Amino acid sequence: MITKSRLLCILSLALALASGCDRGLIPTEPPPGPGALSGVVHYTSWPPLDSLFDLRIVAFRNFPPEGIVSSVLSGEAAVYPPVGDTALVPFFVDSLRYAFSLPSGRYEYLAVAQQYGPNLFTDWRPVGQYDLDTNLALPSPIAIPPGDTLREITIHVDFANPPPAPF
Amino acid sequence: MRVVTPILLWLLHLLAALPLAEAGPAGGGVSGRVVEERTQTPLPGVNVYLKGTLLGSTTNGEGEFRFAGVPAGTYSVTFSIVGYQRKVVPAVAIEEGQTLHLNVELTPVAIQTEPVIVTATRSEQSLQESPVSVSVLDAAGIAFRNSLTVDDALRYISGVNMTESQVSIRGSSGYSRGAGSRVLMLVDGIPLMTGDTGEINYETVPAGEVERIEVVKVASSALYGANALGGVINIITKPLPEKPETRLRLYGGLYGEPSHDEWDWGGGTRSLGGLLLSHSRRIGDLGFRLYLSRDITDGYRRNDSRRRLNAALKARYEFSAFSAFTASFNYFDQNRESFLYWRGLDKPHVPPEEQLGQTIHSRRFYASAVYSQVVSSSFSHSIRGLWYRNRFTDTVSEGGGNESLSDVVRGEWQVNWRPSESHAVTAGLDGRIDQVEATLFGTRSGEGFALYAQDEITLSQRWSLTIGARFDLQRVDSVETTSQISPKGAIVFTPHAGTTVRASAGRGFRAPTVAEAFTSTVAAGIVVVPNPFLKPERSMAYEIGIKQVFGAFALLDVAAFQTDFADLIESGFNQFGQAQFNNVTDARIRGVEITSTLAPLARTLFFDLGYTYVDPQDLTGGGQDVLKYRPRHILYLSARARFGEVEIGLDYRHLSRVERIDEEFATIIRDGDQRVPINVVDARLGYDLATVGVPLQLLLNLYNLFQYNYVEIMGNIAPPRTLLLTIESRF
Repeated sequence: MITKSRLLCILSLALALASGCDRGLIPTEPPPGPGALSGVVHYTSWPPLDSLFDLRIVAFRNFPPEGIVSSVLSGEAAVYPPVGDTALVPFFVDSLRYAFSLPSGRYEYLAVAQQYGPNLFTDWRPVGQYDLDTNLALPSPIAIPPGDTLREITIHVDFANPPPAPF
Repeated sequence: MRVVTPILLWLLHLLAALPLAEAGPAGGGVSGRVVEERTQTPLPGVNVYLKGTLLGSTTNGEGEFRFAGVPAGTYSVTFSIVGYQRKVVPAVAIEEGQTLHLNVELTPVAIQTEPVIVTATRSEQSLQESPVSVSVLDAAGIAFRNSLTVDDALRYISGVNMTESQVSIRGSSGYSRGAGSRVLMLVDGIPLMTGDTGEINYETVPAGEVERIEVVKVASSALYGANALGGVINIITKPLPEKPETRLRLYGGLYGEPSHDEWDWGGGTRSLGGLLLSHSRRIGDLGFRLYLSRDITDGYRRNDSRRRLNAALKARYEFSAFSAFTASFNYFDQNRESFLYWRGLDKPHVPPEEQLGQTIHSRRFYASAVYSQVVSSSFSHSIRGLWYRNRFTDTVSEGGGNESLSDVVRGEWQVNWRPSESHAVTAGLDGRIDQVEATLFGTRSGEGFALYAQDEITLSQRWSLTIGARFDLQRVDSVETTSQISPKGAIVFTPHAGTTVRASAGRGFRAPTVAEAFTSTVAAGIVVVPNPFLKPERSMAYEIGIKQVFGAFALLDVAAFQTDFADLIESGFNQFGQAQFNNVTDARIRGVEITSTLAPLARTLFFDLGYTYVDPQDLTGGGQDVLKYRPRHILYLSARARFGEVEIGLDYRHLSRVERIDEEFATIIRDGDQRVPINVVDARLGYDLATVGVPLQLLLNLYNLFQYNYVEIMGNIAPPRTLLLTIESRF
């Protein structure tokens, strides 16, 4: 006859096998260390105020990106000013000097994005991008060094003549 | 409070006006004594009732009971208590003006097949005879697992799964961030849901005060109205003992280190601890209990500490053997830091920088009163009232904190009538008033009114039928007033002793809450807008089941169920990219549940098994999707053994990986989509010194023994291995 203690030992062993071998969730790689980006945005041909819901500088890891909001929320893009901060966006200026920290590494696409309508998820378009060769209409990648600042990155924004929209 | 105060005064006036000194019906009497068969020691707390009547009583500390005013006739007298075989003494002839004496011996049993439950039909009945699936967790199960809150205890009930603090019975609920609940929670039969978010706050009810928890696993709106479309949880608080009793419980414990070196966040040794003190006493016909508990935890994550205080008073005055007044007061105060979600799976114990320092302070109070009276052997009634106040302040939202104050006042009158031996009628009416003042929801009010009736018909010795319906009228501020008729029907077939077959169908519904209709805020850049056009959710539930007892060593229950839901309220984004609650989902949940208890070695070794398979179809997109936050497989295994004064136990929980979560919200949280099946083992060891004459019990609990890392909701890693040592004394 099986004793109580033996039955419990068998059960403990079964439970240990069932759950002890697998530890569940495991750590993911930490995000790259922070770096920083600074430069100037030059503006021309400002649109009417009723189409200026928001304006952001966005650095995308990939090009073309899936979308501005989904990329920012999933960590595939860094945004300046940060999400939820609308007080720092100046409209109708000739230029804006910017500097912000973001995870280091390579970014394929640096753009200035305008929210032109009320829909936070869909009403966005790029109005300027960082490109070394304006004739190609393709963005130029940047690389943010860990612990350091990539400086003097200039972006030209012409609201009347925006670059191709990948999102 | 303009409306609340007059209603309270009205309820108190009503109670004061009742014939409190009711002498009880005239007739004959029954008295007697109940002892344990083997030791001949008296058994206190045994339920004694005359079958076919509403007359019932419990034995006192000497095992004695007494009925008076029993109409002359022949009755069956039933004796039941947890841990003993129910006994029925047939053909007891009672004559006018005479008192019959009965001496009864009860036999201890390994498996309690027939505990008395009160939730399934709003009247006392044996679990074996219940027309719907009900699970019962008794005080011993709660105490031995050392559940600190009621939701901890619920994690061991078959078919029930918790998504953080939100309960789901057989897949009825997903996760709605605290707004609304598809399960109704009752405390001693009275609904205890907040007036603003309509949610369950389990910690308000101290686990140390719980006598047992009954979980009805099917839609029960025909008896309980709104919120009961996914089932009902009824928390029965401890009765007042006959003799003075003081209870002191101290516990302390440590959270284990994170299981991966990469997760070490420098938190050092994290601890938890607390104490419980209660004293019960009876002075003449008045009994009362004072209760105080304090719990403090560092939390196992950063910004996750908590301090909690519970204070309670329960008092009962017995005017006669046939009428009593019970009042309860409960105060709860909790200060805790807020951990909304992790920084990422590389740092799961640390929240994002902006959440650090955020706190939530909750203060809750409820007062309830019940007057019950047996008017005759065939008619009894009870009047219940409740005032529940819930206030919280936080520092969580952008641009300052939130504050909410909600009041709920409920009143209910229920009658139980047995016009003949074959009919047991339960009927009643209840009303509710809500008031809310909150930064998130504005100033809102609501009312509800309901009528219900049910008849349990004994067709023959083998067949019984239950039919009933409830009419509800509900208003939530400017949301269109809605009405609902919720019918139900159930049949029970007992082909022979030990076997019952049941089938039932019933409708359920849930009205939108203030939070779902009127939340207006901005959080993490997301704009949340109100929707005052919400409609109630509705469901239709069907169940068939069979329960089989195999001698004194095994019990098996198998049930198949289906629930069709319409207009489920879920949060999502509208065409303007704003978050909003909408009636968006139709769903069908089907499944099978198997519950079994085994006692292969007399009264010393027990196994419990609960397995539930759920197929949660979201019908909105053509039935291709599954509903969010529903595991398909829920498995509970439990084993416990007793070696003299030592008891050891093991619990294993498995929940399959949730197939679908909130995709939109998962993108907000880094690694928010990371999840795994849940496989958790808890172990415990108890040593009861009462057997050697010392009123002391020692408990050692090891939760998450194998340090399994999992989430119940996105971005929230579950507690690591946790050690808890408890010392309890009753004297």
